Amino acid sequence: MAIKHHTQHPFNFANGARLLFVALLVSGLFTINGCQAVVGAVSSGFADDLSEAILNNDDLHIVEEGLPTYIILIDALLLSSGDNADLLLAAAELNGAYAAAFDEDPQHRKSLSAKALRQALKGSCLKQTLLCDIESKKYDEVVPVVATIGEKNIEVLYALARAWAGWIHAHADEMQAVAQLSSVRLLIERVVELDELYDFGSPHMYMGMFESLLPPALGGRPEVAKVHFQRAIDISEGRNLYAKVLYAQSYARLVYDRELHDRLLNEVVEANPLVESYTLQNTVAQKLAHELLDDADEYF
Amino acid sequence: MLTNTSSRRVGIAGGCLLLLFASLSTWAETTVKVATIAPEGSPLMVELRNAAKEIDKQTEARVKFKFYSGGVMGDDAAVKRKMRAGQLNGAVLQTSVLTGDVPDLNVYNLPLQFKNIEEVTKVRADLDSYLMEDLEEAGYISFGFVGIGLAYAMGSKKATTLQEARRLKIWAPKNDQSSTLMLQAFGITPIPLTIVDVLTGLQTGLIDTVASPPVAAVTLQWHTQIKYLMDVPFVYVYSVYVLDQSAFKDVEEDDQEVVRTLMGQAMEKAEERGIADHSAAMDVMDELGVELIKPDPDSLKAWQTLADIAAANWVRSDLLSKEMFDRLNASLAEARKENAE
Repeated sequence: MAIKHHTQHPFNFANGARLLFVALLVSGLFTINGCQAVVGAVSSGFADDLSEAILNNDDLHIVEEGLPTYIILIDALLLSSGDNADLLLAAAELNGAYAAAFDEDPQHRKSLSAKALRQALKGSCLKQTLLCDIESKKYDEVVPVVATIGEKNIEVLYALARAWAGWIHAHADEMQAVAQLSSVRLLIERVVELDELYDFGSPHMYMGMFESLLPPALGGRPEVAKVHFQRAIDISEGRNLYAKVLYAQSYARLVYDRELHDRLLNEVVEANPLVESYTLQNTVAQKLAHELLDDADEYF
Repeated sequence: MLTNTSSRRVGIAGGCLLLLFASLSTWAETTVKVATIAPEGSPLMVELRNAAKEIDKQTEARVKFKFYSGGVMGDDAAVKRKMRAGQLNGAVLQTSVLTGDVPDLNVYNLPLQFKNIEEVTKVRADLDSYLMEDLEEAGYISFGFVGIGLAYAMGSKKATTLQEARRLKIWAPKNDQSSTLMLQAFGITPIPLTIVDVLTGLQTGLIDTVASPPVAAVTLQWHTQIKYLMDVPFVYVYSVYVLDQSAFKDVEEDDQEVVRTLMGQAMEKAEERGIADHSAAMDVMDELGVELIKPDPDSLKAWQTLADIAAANWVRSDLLSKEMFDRLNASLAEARKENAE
């Protein structure tokens, strides 16, 4: 089962950035992975068609309304196939994505993201025993584990990183979650090392977020973030409008570069969102770009 | 820079065909520019931005706030210079840059004075108002203080006695004279580094110990390099929110009251969150297996003796008034008495 075309949520301390994460998760929703897992038993052809239809859907309302059905369906499948790693990872994808994308209740979002993380951890452990109990390991212990994960496990590594990041984001007001940032970062760094082109360069987008979580005065490295965001844009040949939105929100706002901020967002607004497999994500990016532009006078 | 724009509001009362000029009033819009090192999205910034929105609403847009977060306006010293130059109207900053104007702000900076965050809360309740009055007299408008927490010595090497501590490679913020002086009071020669270099310094062994509030250590991910924490609160770390009084020169009294109330409440909310986070961060350290080490009574006494000498020296050198120092001790005595009961 391919885990491709994901751009699920990096995280941020900024509460104001929630919409941005929402959109990242929306893009993560529409992974072929989740949908195929659900309907794969029925028809692989149908799964492909469904995935394609969702990825190219520009109607967020329809997707929001429809997704819970798939979550229930996949939960049902897990009742009889609880040790199916692919199914678990797909469930983590859907639960985590819905939690951050559409769930407006912070407490419910926390519980749903926790469910997603449990599923991702179990699925990852089944796929690669080195990853078992990684969440309870100290940072020093995570370092050698992640370093031994090879390219053949890049999909599971990336899926786990996204579920973990989603959990941290939902629990960003808790020190226990903030304390785990470094471990998740290690996972994403490893994905970049193994294949920077993976998921059309989206791991670079995560790295851009990591490097811009803090201002330079507190150890953030916005100039490094800039390089990562630019690389994500270049790898996707500019088709991933989301990378530009994050670049504006995370980097340009951090360094108070209004000119760059507005230029990036105006490019997003004016771009054609209809890109194969990116239409939905780009539609969300445009919506967020409008919101960020509307809010810019207040911020800058 | 204070931005004032005047506009006219014309009130019109009229009948079907009769237009009566009813009133002509003028009002000024004031934009208050505030800088802080606190990052966007931190509890403090969230509360400040929420308060600013409410102020905008309640003053019908006559008073607006513009924030420069994350240290984008430079360090505290630079921010203070910009306030003097009129480029900024206010800041949330460490009190060390204001002690030249109000020496008694040093009262919370004394080492080894607080045993826990509850004592801080009690003392703050007793003394904050005096300090805020002093700030007002020195030309500032103050909305209060917000704590980051009690700083503990923590690192990759174990030390409890003064002799052991003096062999450690202890970090002090670069260009932070008060931190350096405080460590020197214990016979410790710190290694100055910018905050940006601390994590790398811990990873490479350039330093092996920091004195930091647990919240900061976790947020900045220093905790990944921490194995030991000396379970003795070293010093209280906090910030103060001030405006230059000129920020209010074109603000109506009613609007000033709105600003004072809402910004004060914002600071209180941020403080509540800070206290909760302080406790949670200590729990995280514990869960991560960081070993809490307690100095033996003799070692602790040696630490405390030097701290008390340092405090007495501060009073003798007029870095802190005797009156305020006495207030601190009286409040602490009450807190400990209440705790004992």
